[in-house]
Amino acid sequence: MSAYNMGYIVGVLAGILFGVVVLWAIFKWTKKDHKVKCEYDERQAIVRGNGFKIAFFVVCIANFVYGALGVNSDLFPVTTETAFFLIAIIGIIVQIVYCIWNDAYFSLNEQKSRVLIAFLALGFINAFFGVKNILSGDAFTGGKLNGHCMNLVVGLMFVIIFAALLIRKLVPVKSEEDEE
Amino acid sequence: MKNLRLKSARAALDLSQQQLADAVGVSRQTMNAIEKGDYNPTIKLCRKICRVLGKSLDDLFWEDDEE
Repeated sequence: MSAYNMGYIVGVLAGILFGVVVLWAIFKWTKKDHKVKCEYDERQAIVRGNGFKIAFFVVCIANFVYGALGVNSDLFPVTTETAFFLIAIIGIIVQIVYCIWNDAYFSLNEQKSRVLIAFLALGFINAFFGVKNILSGDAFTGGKLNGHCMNLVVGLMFVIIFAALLIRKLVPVKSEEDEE
Repeated sequence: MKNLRLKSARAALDLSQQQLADAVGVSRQTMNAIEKGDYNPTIKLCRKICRVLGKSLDDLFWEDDEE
């Protein structure tokens, strides 16, 4: 193994380790009890299960559509490996929006304000590097979006999450008439 | 079907949905869904609610045919 390959592997592992440590710190910081694990009540657990189910089928359908129409064609302006990351992100967004709409996104031991601050920071950092990659041209390979566009996609995901939270707060749902 | 007996038992103790939800370890939205009849709680949660409100399962959750 060449020194370059060894350096690359060490770099990737260090990056992953750094990411895990940052996520661990964020998880602890956003909890009232400073635990890493989220705690949901029984209704929230059921709703989240339904969300996973819907997201699973959305990902299956998206994979099928891309497999049938997108591979080796110019129908979608993304490279093949990027398409599969995008499909995963679509599944995550579906699950999150479903949970937000059914009041099962925030766990019982989470501090909403801190979660929103963390999301804002993560969204901003990703959007910044995403825009930078687009402007520098790094995000394109042969006219198609490559893996470097994922920062922008993740940034957009956080925008969608904030939009869903805002709409859920502003639009009254019939079953959610508060009776204190 | 709305659970008006649960709502009145809670109101009798001057508890808000949030306070009752905190006491039994669920979210306020879940407590609201139970009172609205949108969610059927497990027997475990029913017992917790009964214990906090000082009522029996029959008092709060048993539905007679004519109801």
